[in-house]
Amino acid sequence: MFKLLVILLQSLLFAVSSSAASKTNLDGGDLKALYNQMESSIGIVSEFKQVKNISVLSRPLVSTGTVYVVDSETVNWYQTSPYSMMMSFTPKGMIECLDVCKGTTATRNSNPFAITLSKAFIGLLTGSPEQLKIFFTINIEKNEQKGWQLSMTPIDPMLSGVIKKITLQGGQYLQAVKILEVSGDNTLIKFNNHHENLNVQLETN
Amino acid sequence: MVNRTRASLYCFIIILLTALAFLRVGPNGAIDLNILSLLPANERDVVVEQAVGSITQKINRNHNYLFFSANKETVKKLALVAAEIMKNSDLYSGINVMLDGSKNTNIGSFYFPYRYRLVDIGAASQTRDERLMQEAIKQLYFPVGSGMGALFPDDPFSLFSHFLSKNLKDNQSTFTIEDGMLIKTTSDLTYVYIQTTLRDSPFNLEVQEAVDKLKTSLLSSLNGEGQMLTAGIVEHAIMGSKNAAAEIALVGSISILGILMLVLLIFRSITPVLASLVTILLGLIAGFSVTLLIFGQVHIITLVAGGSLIGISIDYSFHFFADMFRQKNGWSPSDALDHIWKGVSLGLITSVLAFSALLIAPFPGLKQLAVFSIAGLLGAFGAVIFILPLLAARMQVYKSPAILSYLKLWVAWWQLNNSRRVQSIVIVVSIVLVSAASVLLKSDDDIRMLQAPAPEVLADEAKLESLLNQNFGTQFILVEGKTAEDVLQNEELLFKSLSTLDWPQDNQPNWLGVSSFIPSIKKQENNLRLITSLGHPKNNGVINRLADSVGLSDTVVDDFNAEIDKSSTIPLTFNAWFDSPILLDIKKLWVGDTIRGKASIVLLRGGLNPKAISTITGPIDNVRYVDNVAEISQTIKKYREKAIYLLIIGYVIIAATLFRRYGVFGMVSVVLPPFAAVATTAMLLVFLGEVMNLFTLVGFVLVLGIGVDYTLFYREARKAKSSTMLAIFLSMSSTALAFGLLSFSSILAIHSFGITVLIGIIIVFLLAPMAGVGVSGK
Repeated sequence: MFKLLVILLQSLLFAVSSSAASKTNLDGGDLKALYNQMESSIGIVSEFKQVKNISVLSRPLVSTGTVYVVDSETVNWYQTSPYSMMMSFTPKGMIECLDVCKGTTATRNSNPFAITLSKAFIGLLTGSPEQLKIFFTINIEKNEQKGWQLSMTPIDPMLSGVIKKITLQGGQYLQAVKILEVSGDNTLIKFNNHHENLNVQLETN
Repeated sequence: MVNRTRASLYCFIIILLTALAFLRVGPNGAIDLNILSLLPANERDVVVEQAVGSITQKINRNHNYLFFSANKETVKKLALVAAEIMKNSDLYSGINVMLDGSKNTNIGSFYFPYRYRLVDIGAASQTRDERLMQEAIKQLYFPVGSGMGALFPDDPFSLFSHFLSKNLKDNQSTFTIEDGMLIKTTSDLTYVYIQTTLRDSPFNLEVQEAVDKLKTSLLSSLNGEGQMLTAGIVEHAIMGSKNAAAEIALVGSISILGILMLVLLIFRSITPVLASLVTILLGLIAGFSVTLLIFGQVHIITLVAGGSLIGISIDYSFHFFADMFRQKNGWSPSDALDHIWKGVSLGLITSVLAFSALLIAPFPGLKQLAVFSIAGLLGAFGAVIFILPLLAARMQVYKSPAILSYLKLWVAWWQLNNSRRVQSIVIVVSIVLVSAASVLLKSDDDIRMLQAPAPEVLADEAKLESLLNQNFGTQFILVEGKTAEDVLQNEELLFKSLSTLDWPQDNQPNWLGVSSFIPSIKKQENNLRLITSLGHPKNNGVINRLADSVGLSDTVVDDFNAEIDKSSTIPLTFNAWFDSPILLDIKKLWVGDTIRGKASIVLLRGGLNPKAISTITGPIDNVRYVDNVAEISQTIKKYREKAIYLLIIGYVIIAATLFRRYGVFGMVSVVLPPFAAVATTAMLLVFLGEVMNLFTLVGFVLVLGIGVDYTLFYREARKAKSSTMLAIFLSMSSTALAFGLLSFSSILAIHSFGITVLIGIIIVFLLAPMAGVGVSGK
C-alpha cells in the first residue's frame, strides 16, 4: 500500500503540476532574516554532487554537474556525469531539455516530486520561499558557522507517507539538500563553487 | 337570447380549453426556454440524436463556481461557507467542494492490479528498449524526487505513473488539491473551484429563480472579501429568461397602451377599448391553451412572437366598430356584423391557410407559432362574432375622426389612378424586386440567432474555461459498435488517427474519450504482450539490463516478471470499470445502449477545423463527426429554403380560393398588394443591411396573411371603402406597434421577424386600395 501511495502521489502531483505559484503571506521574520543573509542567487552558477542511496540498489547513484539560477522563476540543472542531462525548473513544472532549454525543443518531465521540489528549489535559490509553505512546515535552525538549516516536513498526508524530511543547509548560498524518505532511502545534493558566470552553457528563453 | 346562449357556449369552450391546457402542463412548467426544443428532432440519425441528448442532458445541469481573493486562507474559508449555503438551498444533487481525499487513491487502487495492461509501450525494438531503459535510469538520477527505490518493484519503468498522470491531468485540469479543495493560485489571486450538479433542468423557471436567489445570498456571504464567478447552461437560461421577460413586458405594455390610445382617439368611447381588450385576451387565451394542449409547453419565442397576435386579432374588432362610420344613423351591432361578416370570415380563412403552410414544416418552432396564431385568430374571431355585439349593444356613434378625411383622400387617389395597367406595372416591378432581393439579400442560418447570450455570461464562461484549462468545443465524435468492446476498439482506432493531426502544443487535452481510461480487452492483451517482452526471457530482458546498469537486486527483477505473469489472468472489463465509483465525469461520455448496439462520445478541443476532423473520421467505420451547432444551422437553412416553397404553396392556395369568388382579375387585385409589399420589403431589407433567415420568412408569411386580409376587407367593403380603410389603418397601426417594437429585440430571430412585418405591413396598407379595381360601387 505504501508503494501504491508513492505512485499515486507521483501521478497526482503530476496531474496538477502546471498550477501556478502560490503567494502565501509569511508572518515569521525568520525566513526573511534568512534571506537577508543570503546573497541574491540570480545569475549564479554552482557545481553539484548528488548521491542517492536506494535500498533496492546495490550501490549509491552518484551524479555531478552544474546548476544555474537563470531568473526569479527559472533554475537550470545540467548533469554532466555519469551521462549528460539538462533540465529546467519553473513554477509550471520541470522541463527536460533535449538540447538547450528553449521552447519547442523541450519536453515536460513527468516527475511529480521534481515538480514540487522544483518550486522549493526556485524558492530557495531565488529568495522567494513562499513556495515551500504550500507543501511543508518549515523549521529554521542556525549553526555555529553563521550558516543556517531548514528542516521541512511534508504537510500533506500523502506526501508525508513518502518523504520523511527534507533538510536544506546553507550560508551565503544554498550548500546542501538532503531528502530522507520514509522507506529509508535518501538523497544528498551538495553545492559548491558558487560563482557568477554570464557565459554559461545553459540558455533559457 | 340566442346571442347570449351562443356567447355563453363560446365562453364555456374557452374556459374548458384553458382548464384542459393547465392540466396538460408538464413538470417543467408551461414555458419552454430551451432553444433546442424549437428544432426538429427527427431530422438526424437517431443515434446521433441520442448522443446529443445524452451529453447535453448531462452537461446542462453542470453549474460551476469559482471563488477568488488575494488571500488564500480567506477564499478557502469563503468557499466553505458558500458550499454550506449551496447545500442548504437543496438545489444541487452534487456539490464538489471538499474532495474526498480517498477519491484519487481509489482511482489508483482500482487501476493498480491492471497496471501492466494499461500502457502501450510500442512495438518491440532495440530503440524502444533503449528509450525505456534510459528513461528509467533518468528517473533514478533526477536531482530530486522520483526514482525512489520504493517504486521500482511495482513500476520500474514508471508506466503506471505515466498512465495515471496523464489521465488524471486530462480529467482534473490545472487545479491543485489543497486541503481537499481544488485550488489554483496565480501571481495575484487564489481561486477555489466548486463544481455542482443541478437537481432539475436549468430550463425550469423555478430552478432559475432559485439559482438567482442563491447567487445573491452567496454574493452577500462574501462580505466584499472575495469575488465569485459562475458558469453553466443555467446562467444562459437565467439571462435568456430575464431578457425575454423584459422584452415581453416592454413589447406587450407599449403595444397595448399604444393600441388602446389609438382606439380611444378614433372612437371616443371606452367600449371599443374594452371590446378590443376582450378580443385580444380571448385570442391569446385560445392561442396559449391550444398550443399548451398540443405541445405540452409554449416556447418563449412562440410567446414573444405569438404575443404579437394582438396585432391581428384586434383587426376583427376594428372592422366591427369602424363600421359605425359607414352609416351613423341607425347603426346597430347586428348590422355591423352582417356587413363585415364576409370580409372577416374570408380574412380568417386566408390567414388560417397562410399559417397552415407553416404546419407542414416538421419544425416544432414554426408549428407552435402556426398553432398559436391559428387558435388565437379563431378565438378572436369567436369573440368578435359572439361577444362584441353584446358589448356594443348600447354604444353611441360619435362624429367621424379626422383621420377618416385623410383616408378618404387616399382612397379617392387610388380610385382615380387604379387600373389594370397600373397593376401590370406593379406586377413587373414586384417581380424585378423579388428577383433582385433573392440575389442580394444575404442569408444567415446560424442557430445562435435564436439567442442573444449576455456578454457578461460569456466572459465569465471564457475566464472559467481558461482557468480550468478546459477547451472542449461543441463538436464531438460519435463512436459506435455492437458491443462495448467494439466501441472501445473503434475509439482506439480513432485516437490513433487523431494523433496524426497537427495539434497545438499548449499542454491542453486534445480529445477526451472513455477508452483512454478503459482500454479494450484487445488493447490490454497487446499492451501486456509488449510489456512482457521487457521482462522475459529471463536474463535478457530490459529489466535485467537495467538491473545490471544501476545495480538493481534480483528480487526486483523476479517480482517484475511475476507481476506481469499475474496480470495475464486478470483483464480489466468494461463492466467492472463502468460499475466502479471512479471517474464519474468521464462515464458521462458513454452513451450506452442504442438501436445499433452501444455508443460513446469523444469530445474534441474547440476551434478545430471541421474539415481536418472529417478527413480523419471519414474512412473509419462506426465513427462519425458531429458538429452540433453547424448541423442545426444547416437544418435551419434547409427549412428556410423549404419555407419559401411553403410560402408559395400557401399563397397559391389563397389565390385559388379567391379565384372561385372573384375570377382572375379580382383575384389578382387582392393578392397583388401583399405580394408587392413583400417584394418591396425584401429589397428594403437589402438596403438596411439586414440578413435573411427563417424568421424573415415567417415575417413574409405574416405580411401576406395580414395583407390579404386588408385587400379582402377592402374589396368586400363595396360602398364603405372609407370606414373599411379606417379599420385597416387601425389594424396596420396596431400591427406596426406590436411588430415594430419586436424589431428592437436583442434576439436576432425576433428582430428579423419584427422588422420584416413592420415594413411589410405599412406598404401593404398603402397598397390595399388597389384591391378595389374593377369592383362596382366605387
